Amino acid sequence: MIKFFSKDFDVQVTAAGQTVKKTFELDKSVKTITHYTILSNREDLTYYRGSFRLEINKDEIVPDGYSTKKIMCWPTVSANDRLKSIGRRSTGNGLITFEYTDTNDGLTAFVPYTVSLSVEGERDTD
Amino acid sequence: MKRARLIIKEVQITKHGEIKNFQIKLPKNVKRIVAVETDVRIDLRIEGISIGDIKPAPRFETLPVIEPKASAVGSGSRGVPFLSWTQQQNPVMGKLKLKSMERTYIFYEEWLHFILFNGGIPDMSMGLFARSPISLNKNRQAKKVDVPVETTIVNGIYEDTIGNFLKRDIAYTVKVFVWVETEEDTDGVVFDFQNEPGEVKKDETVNEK
Repeated sequence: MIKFFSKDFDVQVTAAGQTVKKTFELDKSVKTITHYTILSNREDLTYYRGSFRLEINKDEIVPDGYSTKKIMCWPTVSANDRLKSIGRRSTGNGLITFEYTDTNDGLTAFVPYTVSLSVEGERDTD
Repeated sequence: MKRARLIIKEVQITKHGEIKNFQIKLPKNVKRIVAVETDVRIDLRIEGISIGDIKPAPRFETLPVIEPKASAVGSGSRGVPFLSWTQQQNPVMGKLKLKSMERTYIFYEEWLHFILFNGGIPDMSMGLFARSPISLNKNRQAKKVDVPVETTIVNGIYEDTIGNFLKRDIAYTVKVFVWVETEEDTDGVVFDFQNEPGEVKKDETVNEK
């Protein structure tokens, strides 16, 4: 039987202009990834300054430089639309590579913040 | 259905009224362009729209977002009305046009807006408090296009208008996201803009934790 799976992976941005690359390993029971989004404890900084790259099982879902504001969601967005759909990507080796880049801009002053990659998918129950 | 890949092109604008011609190179296995998204990042600081600053946003009815210098609107604090809330408007940055060799005319044209994080919210800070950290933005979807391509080049033209409006140079980066369909198999990856209207996006049966 297939069950719903959801997990957040955090990266810390500690310096302005920093690129943080992290590879996360999923549990072996997770079979597919269906949706993802980006959350943060400083949404304004992530919105204006962030771009990212996402790879699942060595397959590039979005390349480096894709703006986080295209993915982020707000309380005004209906619950069904908050996560970005990517169909059903099998997890394969179970590795998710998330590369977040902070870029200085003209609107915000940097303070350290945390960015979370939130993924949803399906897992086997056993 | 084939796999969609994203091609990103960044264009730097530094002078007012600047017109930039650029090319977006597509992969060799491209079949058609399926969607286009855009984004703007302001690179240099502009007075009046800083987030943590106590300076209030300009009045909605006078200027869209970017405030003229204090000397231009009056002296000192009299330049900004006291205890009146204001609303920010997303400024129009310029116009983007994309053209493919397989189409006679421009296939994509858009006035680019800089979407502020809390643009739709009245600024009740009265110049004394931090602005609201809440956003009322809606998630913007990629705009679907259907342009079969054989050549691997898309030509683009971008014209700055906000610099002309404010009569000064504003440095910003225009990002053009071109989603192309390639000859690769999907491997299960299907994006929103590839779904036909009415198609179920999420499997309703998989909802138990």
